[in-house]
Amino acid sequence: MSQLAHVHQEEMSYARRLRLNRWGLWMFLVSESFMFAGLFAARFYLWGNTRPELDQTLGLVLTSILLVSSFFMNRAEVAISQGHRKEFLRSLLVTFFLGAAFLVGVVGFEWGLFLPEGPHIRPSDGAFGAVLYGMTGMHAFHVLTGLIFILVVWNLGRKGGFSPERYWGVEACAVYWHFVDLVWVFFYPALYLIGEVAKLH
Amino acid sequence: MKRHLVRALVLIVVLAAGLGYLVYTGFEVFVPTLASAEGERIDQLLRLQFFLIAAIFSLVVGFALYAVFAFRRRPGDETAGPSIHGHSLLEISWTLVPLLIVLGLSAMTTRDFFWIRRPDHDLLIRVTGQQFSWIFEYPEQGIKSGELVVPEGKRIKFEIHSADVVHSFWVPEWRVKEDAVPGLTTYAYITPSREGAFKVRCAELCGAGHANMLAPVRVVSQEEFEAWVAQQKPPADPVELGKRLVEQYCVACHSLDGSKKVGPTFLGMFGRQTPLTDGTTVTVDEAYIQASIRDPKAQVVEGFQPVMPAFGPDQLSDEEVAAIVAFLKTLKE
Amino acid sequence: MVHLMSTALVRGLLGQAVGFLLGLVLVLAGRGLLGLDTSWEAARQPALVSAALVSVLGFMLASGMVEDWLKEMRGEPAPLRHGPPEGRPGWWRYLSVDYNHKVIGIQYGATSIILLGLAGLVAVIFRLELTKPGIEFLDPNRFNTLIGWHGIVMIAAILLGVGGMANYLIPLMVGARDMAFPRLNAFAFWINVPAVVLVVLALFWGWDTGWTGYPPLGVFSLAGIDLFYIGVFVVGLSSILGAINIIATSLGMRARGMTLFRMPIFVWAMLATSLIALTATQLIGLSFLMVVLERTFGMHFFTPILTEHAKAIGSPPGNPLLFQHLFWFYSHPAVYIFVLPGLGIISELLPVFSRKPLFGYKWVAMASMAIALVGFLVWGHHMFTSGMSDIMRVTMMWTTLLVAVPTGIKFFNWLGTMWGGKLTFPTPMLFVLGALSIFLIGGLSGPPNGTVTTDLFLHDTYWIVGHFHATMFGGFLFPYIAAVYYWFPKVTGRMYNERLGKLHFWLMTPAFWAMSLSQMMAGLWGMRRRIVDYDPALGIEPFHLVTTVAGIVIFIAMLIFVGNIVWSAVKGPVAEANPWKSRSPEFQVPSPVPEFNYDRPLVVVGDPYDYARPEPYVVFASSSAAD
Ligand code: HEA
Ligand code: HEA
Ligand code: HEC
Ligand code: CUA
Ligand SMILES: [Cu+2]
Repeated sequence: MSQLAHVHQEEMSYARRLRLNRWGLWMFLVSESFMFAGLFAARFYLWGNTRPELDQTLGLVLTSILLVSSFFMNRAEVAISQGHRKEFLRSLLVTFFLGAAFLVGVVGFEWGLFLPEGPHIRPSDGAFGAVLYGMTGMHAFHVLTGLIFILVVWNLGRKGGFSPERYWGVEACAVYWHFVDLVWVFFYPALYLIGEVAKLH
Repeated sequence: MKRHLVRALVLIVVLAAGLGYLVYTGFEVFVPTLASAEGERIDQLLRLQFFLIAAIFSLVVGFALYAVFAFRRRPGDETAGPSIHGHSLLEISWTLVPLLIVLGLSAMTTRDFFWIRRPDHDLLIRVTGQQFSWIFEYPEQGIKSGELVVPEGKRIKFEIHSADVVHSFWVPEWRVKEDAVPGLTTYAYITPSREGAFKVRCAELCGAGHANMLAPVRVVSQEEFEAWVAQQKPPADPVELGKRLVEQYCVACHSLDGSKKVGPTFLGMFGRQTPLTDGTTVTVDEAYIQASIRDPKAQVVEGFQPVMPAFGPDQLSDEEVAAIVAFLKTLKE
Repeated sequence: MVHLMSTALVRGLLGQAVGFLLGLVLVLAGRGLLGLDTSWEAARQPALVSAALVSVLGFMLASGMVEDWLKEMRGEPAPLRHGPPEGRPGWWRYLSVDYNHKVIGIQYGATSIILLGLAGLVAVIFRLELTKPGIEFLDPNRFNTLIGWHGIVMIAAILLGVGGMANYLIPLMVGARDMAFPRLNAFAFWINVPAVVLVVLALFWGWDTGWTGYPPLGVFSLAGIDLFYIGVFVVGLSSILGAINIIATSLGMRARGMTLFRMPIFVWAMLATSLIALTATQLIGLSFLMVVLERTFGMHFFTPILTEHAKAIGSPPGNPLLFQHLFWFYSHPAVYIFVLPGLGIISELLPVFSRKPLFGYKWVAMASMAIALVGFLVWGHHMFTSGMSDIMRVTMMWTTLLVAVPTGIKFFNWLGTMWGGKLTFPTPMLFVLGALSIFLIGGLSGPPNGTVTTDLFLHDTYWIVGHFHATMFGGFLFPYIAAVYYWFPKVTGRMYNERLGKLHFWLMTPAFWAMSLSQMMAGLWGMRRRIVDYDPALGIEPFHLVTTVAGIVIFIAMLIFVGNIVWSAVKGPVAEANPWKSRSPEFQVPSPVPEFNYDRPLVVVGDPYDYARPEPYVVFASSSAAD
């Protein structure tokens, strides 16, 4: 029996396995984008042409951090594909810390956990609160899983788990991270830029 | 093959004639009494679609039945059927014909729909659904009622609200229904075309009382309607007004004679000491009654479930609440 | 006993129980630390949410379904376990995490039949309540819980049944040895089990919104609703992962020579189905998640409640219609998830029992795609009376009615397939023909709902109930039963009892017609949906009586079915490898299908259904070279 199992494993070439894996990942992202699109649509359905007053500096800083992290993620992927293991690990760590900084920014400042006076907008504040926390929360959840993913890949990389020929794990992690970034590219303007600031009563 | 086709077509025509006859004679039996002008358009379209269903059903089932009987394999025949893979002309025609039918149906419906939804009207009635009753307000007449009374032949615009969850305003004989959605105002337009007594039946699941969320409807002549309006005008005397409001909104749960219903009786309530579930005791005074109406869940009487709905200013104005209090004061043991 | 305790099922359930308690404790302790009210009344809602989530995790960890992935994450080798486990009895692998697609297919199928039975039993219970007007033995909240439970569990049974057919058949049909992602496949199945447990637990606290879970009622509902929302959310996750696997397998693992238009037609149907499941499912998940957030954290997405502070910052209120849009954006396409595989089965079996090629193969295949795609544009037809704008209602009507066209194409091509063939009528064919007629009446009762004006009348009445029972019986249940009978000899190597099969058919079909027609009639006469008590003045009592009796007869017929397959699987006569003389590849290998399906690669050389031609559909390559 074990011999048969062996046959089955080897039957599929790495190239073919890789192709299937890529399909799988991209399909998963297509699926996820429907969920994010749902949130995006909910924002326009509920907020229309208004938006709450948010800290513009914070938004800009967060967005820049995330975009820069994608750059380092890309460097990591290129590095492993050329066999530069050291640089690969270093870039991965930079990505991780940038991502973590983003997360802290959202949770600590936008959600007010680190602010002594608490958040300016609370989850229970009508559609503003619900959508703001819904969108940032869902995105933050994905950033969090991305960070875990990066750590796992970093750890495997440290143990020599990838080679320039076989680095599917890195590729998957990178594609996922870019995807999470891309989502923010849509979310950021939807939350911070589009529409007029609601009048304060 | 031609022979088969002719026979199958005969079967189909017979089937279609039978089902068509059923629809033709039976349609009035299939649907409730028709009692609105808008419903007439709806019934026409429904009848047309029933004929269509009869025809298409006969077509498909006729062919299938015929095939089942004519093309069964003879015993001992091990050969396969002919190697026919398709027929483009047939495919195109059975794509186009249904397409034309559904486009036609859509066009007809679009016309009817905008006719039904046109904004002109003779009378405005504001409907509010709440768990589990209906309130009808006639802003132009300045009256409010738990019974829906409307004049025959007048186009009525119903402005529909909800105080809590989604309900749906529906009188089957009028055909049209429209949901009552909290936070939104929705509209239905109806021209009652037949006098009689009907019922509003809540058509959207709204909780435990959904099944019994009914309200009486009376369609009357214009004169009777005016007479009813005159009689409904809120009496100037607050006690009279309060009495009417209590009979309308409260007696389902509170008795006036001392018996216990869903809620405590009103008889002798004013001035008595009431124990609450939180262990404290309050004296029933004007402020307490007002608070009980506006926010009943804040103070719940011991021994009762917190099921009393809150009556906001949309349902009972401050004056009306005062009138209720005035009336309740008169109920002494 | 030792074996039973070591199955993933038992270990998983134990893990789930532990997780559930842990989840409760977490919230209670957390609230205690924060100085919040820890009485059960106050803490119940968040505690149940947390318990539900942690319990699913508990199941995952304890059952071992994620073991390989955890190993891979740690960099340890995790070779794909395959083949029957050594030193275990035969049934053991069916209750364990096994990566063989056929085992997983049977796990799906068996679970779906169990759920069907439970939901059917519940239907019979609330039907007894409805036989007479008045409230007999179910109080309103319990009644509402039961109908919602019936609806959602039936729908879960359908999704699992579809998963069963797809998993068992697709690798066989495309000539692969397994699915593209076997571990993901096992994960997608097993995740359903804790989900179902949650939905069953929801019965205990109850919920009163029906399967649609509309807020604001859903926000204020009984405590069981969180378990319902989370359970369905997890089933949705399974559906998405399953879809990824099915698409990757059917596009990426096809045998040599199997071009897209030479695939067995069922694969097309599953491809279309999976496109819907892959994308739309996210939206029901999102909508349910949002209600749970609203219930737990007071995030008012759907309820127009504005706090003082919200007013101060100028926030707009939540809107109940948003939920309906998100919900139906999935749940309409979902009905095509239910029906496309069924129609695929009809298209697959008709040629076999007509001994004739499938008429208009490309049209049938493209019709599946068209139904799936147009299906995305019609969700608003469930909201014709919801207060949606008039323009939107009319637009949604035009798109809705368009679906009739590709569906019609399928019907006419089926007639073309039968016409001039050599028809035989064993049980699977009977159920195919039954499906055809029943789905026809179900489908034809769709356009009256689709035209806005008539739907203003028909919406939320038993007419709709009749409509969807007919579509789901004709579009799913009957084809599913046909598939079980048809592939039974292939799966078990034994033959079912033909006489019992015929009895099943002749009991079930007339009973179904009686049930559905009487539901439709009651609806036209004014019977509303989801009411525990109805007005005797409507005169609909006879229809209710017929519905109840017919429902019971269906239940009995289905018991005969389950009895037949269980008994025959053990004691039935040994079946030939190809009892139906089918051209399909799975019938060219011995029954039951060997562990790795095909020991030599397949090459497609002919047409899948052309029974008059001498050359077969597939041959086995002489060398065993892969790729
Ligand atoms: C398998 C499931 C399934 C399928 C396939 C369908 C198919 C269709 N359904 Fe149905 N539907 C449901 C399951 C399904 N439905 C469920 C579960 C609900 C209720 C949900 C709830 O509220 O709980 C529902 C509710 C529902 C509504 C909402 C009703 C309401 O609540 O007010 C509407 C409205 O448009 C509708 C329409 C249609 C249409 C137009 C089709 C079409 O796809 C049908 C197309 C088929 C045909 C028309 C027959 C074959 C065609 C021909 C032979 C060609 C010639 C025909 C013509 C020219 C007309 N359905
Ligand atoms: C596949 C889907 C499916 C199936 C098969 C059924 C089957 C039945 N349904 Fe159901 N029904 C729904 C899906 C389905 N229903 C949905 C989605 C709703 C909407 C819920 C809502 O409004 O929220 C609904 C609602 C619904 C209502 C409306 C409730 C209301 O609005 O008040 C009614 C009322 O008559 C009803 C009746 C029945 C009956 C009598 C059967 C009978 O056919 C049942 C007969 C029994 C079976 C078909 C199963 C038998 C199987 C076995 C016996 C196997 C045994 C197994 C083992 C031993 C392992 N159903
Ligand atoms: C659905 C049933 C229901 C309706 C309708 C209802 N009530 Fe009540 N009411 C109750 C119940 C139950 C209680 C006791 C529990 C509580 O205090 O909330 C109660 C309590 C009260 C009390 C406090 C009684 C006491 O003894 O202290 C007052 C006052 C009252 N209701 C007034 C009204 C008025 C006025 C109306 C109509 C405008 C009304 N209720 C309509 C169910 C109802
Ligand atoms: Cu109100 Cu149902
Ligand atoms: Cu639909």
